[in-house]
Amino acid sequence: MPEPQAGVLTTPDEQLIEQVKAGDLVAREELFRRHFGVSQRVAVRLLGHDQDALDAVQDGFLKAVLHLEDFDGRSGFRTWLLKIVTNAALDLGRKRRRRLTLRLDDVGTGDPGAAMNHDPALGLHRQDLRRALDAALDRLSPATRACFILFAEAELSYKEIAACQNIPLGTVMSRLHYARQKLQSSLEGVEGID
Amino acid sequence: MQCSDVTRELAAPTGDLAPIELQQHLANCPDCAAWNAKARRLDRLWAATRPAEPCDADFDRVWAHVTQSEAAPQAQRAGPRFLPLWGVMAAGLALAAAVLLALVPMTGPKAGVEPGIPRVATTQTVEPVIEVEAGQVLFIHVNGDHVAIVRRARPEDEEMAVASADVAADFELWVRSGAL
Repeated sequence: MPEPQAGVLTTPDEQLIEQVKAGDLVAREELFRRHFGVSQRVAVRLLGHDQDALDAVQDGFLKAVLHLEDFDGRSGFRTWLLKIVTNAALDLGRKRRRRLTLRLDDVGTGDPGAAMNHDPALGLHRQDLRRALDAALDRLSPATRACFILFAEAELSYKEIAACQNIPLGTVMSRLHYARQKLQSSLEGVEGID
Repeated sequence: MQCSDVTRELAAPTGDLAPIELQQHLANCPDCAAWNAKARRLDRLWAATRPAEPCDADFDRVWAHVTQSEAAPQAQRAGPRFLPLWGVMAAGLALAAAVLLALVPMTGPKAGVEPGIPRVATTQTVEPVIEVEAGQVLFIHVNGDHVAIVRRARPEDEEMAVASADVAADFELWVRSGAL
């Protein structure tokens, strides 16, 4: 992997975007690299599947690269990119349907439970919890699910979520309240998180 | 203080309710206290199932694909592409879109195409007319040599396929709008 140029890591997004618009490909790669982690986590939450999430991030990044000229700076780059990745994930989810089961090859590769602890029983328990949460998320509408995930996983502000979803601030608050209510009641019977 | 205000504040904190007032309400309202306990439980579950940070190799794979696809001609880009025609979102008049596909010969229908969708299996130019109502969004998915046209009443709705065809790489597509 090419090392980023000295100083690039601390450069603000806005400055990187200027460099990108001037044709700096290293800056462009750095811009996307720094938001890859959160894009991937959001896509995993939306789709419930690690590999599908990578595909969605790939689709989203390609669209973002092709339309980078359209980024007008009204929202932050992270917000703009997450909007595109979220839409890509929802599109992919509609085509493939959310997969609620983890593949066997998720264990030990994409599954952080296995990496965080070496107790197989704990890893399995974590997978059970994830399945339960995925199933609960699946019961939300795509728009409400995306709203909650942008809040809880990407830690976007209400204003940023409103920009991401093209909705008023009040609708963001209503969706978050509704999402929590639904998730909490769906997960009432799940054991092991008390 | 209304219970609905409290649960809203717990779900999406705004700072509109003073923490001390909130605590006092929770101490005296078993329903809201139970709601709060469930909310904290959900937070713990969320944290316990947080997806792992992807590794550098994941980014490198994704980025390699993105840069390769970017360099490829449009028709060869992997994955479906979406060309939303936002003109159909305009004021409440019906829009008639006529889509003209100039096609080259094809060998016959492929599997996996939705039943009931008109397929083009001809050497002639065809003019399927697709009616799009105001407020609907028309998407044209181009995936390799396959084109599918779908319509959604609203962006979040399920897609409804309206046409599907296998085409040559250099097909032409015409859109004719009605009164707007």
